[in-house]
Amino acid sequence: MPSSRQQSPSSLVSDLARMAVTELSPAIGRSIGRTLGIKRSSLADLVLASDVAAKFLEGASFELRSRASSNAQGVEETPSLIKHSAARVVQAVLSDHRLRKRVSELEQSVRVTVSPKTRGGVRLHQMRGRMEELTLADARPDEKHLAKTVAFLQAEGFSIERVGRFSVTATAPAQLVSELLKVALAVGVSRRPSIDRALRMFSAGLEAPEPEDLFVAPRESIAVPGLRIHASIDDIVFVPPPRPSVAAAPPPVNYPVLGASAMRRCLGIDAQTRDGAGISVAVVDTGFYVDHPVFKKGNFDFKAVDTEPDESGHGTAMAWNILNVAPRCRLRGYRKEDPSGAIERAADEGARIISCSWGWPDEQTFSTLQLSIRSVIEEDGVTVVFAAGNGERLWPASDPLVVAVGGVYADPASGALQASDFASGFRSDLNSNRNVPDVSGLCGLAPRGIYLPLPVPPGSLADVDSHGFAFPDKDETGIDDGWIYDSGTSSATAQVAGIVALMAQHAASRGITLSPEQVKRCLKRASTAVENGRNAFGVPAIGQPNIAVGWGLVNAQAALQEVDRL
Amino acid sequence: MSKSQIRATVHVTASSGDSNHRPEPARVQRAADSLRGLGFEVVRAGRYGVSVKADRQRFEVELGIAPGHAEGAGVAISPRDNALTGLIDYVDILPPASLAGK
Repeated sequence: MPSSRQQSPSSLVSDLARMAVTELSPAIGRSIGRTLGIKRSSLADLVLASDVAAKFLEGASFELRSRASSNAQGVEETPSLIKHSAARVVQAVLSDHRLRKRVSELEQSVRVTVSPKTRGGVRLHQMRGRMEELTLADARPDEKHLAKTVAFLQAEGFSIERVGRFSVTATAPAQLVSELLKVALAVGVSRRPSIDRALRMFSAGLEAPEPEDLFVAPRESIAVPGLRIHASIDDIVFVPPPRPSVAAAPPPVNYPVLGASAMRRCLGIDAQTRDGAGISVAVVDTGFYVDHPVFKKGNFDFKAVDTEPDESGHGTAMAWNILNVAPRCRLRGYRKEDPSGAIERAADEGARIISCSWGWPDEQTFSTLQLSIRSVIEEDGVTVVFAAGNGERLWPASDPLVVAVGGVYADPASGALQASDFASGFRSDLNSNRNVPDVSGLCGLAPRGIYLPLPVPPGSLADVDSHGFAFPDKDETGIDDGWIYDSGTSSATAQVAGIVALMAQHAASRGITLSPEQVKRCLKRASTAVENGRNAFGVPAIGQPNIAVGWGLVNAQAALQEVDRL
Repeated sequence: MSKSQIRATVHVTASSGDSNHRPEPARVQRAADSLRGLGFEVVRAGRYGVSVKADRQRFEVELGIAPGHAEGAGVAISPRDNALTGLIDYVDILPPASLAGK
């Protein structure tokens, strides 16, 4: 039975103002003042203004979710739920429209887990930490109480989401829940650990909450005794979302690595360089964990077309390499089990660049795939980028039509460039006059290429494999923290694909559509010569081009200048 | 896909007979329909061939692939169904690609 209780905006404004006076710091109070559109920002003025507003609005009938804030873009609503919330939550919600929207959603639908009386006569909520003392039979709901619980909740206006083996999950508007249970509900935050906190041992705060971190519960406890509403109910529990274990930034390490910003700098990308907006890029790989916090934080246009999970972690890491270079491109992920199909589908669905960080050793070729690659390059004008390999001689990188990418190591301290001894460079046995790579991206050194921070699905093969020993044997990251330090011509390939997206955007702004041949020519001319070091086959980097690194490390700014010369 | 299943691309010939020419979409679709009728799972009818999945025995019985032929490029076939003769000419059975590090 939905409640008809309403709260006028006047009382909400008053409540907010009083809360500003009694509970919040002056800075937060001023922030609320600004949010409410009150120019004079002292607390006294705020209270006065709220009284004026209260008189102005008195008598008017409004819904509970009343207008309490406005901005230049239009009217936004400040959900009433926050008025009982902790000051830091109020501050976070008022300063982030995504959080305000989430709180409004929560206000309409609060999820509770209801425990009916059990067969064994014990309250499950009181058995936390001692569940092993219970038999499953004793923990199960008594059937009569279960039926009465469901009937009662439905009669009160709850939507039953699920009748489980041990509890009933139901949702209802916050106001209904609050009135029924006679508790004030507040917004809570399921805390997100931060690197900062790990380093400074509790002295620093947590990362800013994301919308999915918010939940609703009584401020005092996440559980309410059920007896106060119905004799068949033991407890009503407000379950917070599980604490996310993956951070949006990589863990710090004590050996030389190249972070995201340094990667962009080494590749000649700065604030003035393009960002890939309007360009469709496809990555064909092992799958994509699009829910990684680093992708959410970046607000990228990144989706997995093939949605099977990325058990390897490779594809997720490649996607990030592309987005670190071209953050506003439209990136779509395809799985590589059917490589011909993936490449054709990507082209059919509008990709201008296809990034492929894989291949077959000893230049093993497959005609059907070769035809598909040739088709999308020659008929669709798509630039297809392939990795040269890490100590292997990979095909399709040795196909003359594709852009083959090798690896250059940029010293994190000095920036000095050398051929990566982890990356392949070879003369093709298959195609005469074909040297691999054409150009290079950033790649670490042997034995493992531990170099770049890469997001992976927590607990994926890559995450697990990187864990366990100190650098340089392993990367010292957690076994399921969703981050690794690694690299190879795979990452180098994805970086170059990102740079091609910048070039395509730049060309489009001048009314030009780059052909794959033009892209390759520009990339070669835009590469920084690398004449130091040897590649994985021991081939020295001498002259430009050379077998070790091709024309060298691609520079984005130079590539855009080459586009200007077309 | 169960581990006993094989994923392969069946090459479809162009009506011109040139193996490098792109077959007409109708030919690819015809091949896909025939293969589906023979019990293959058709993953995609592509530009040059049909991506299929099936157990090894089906490849051996229906396409005449030599028993024990694990994987490879351009595997010769001799289809049991006459409707496929001349329409398809070889199969690429791709082993998993090597990932180029990270």
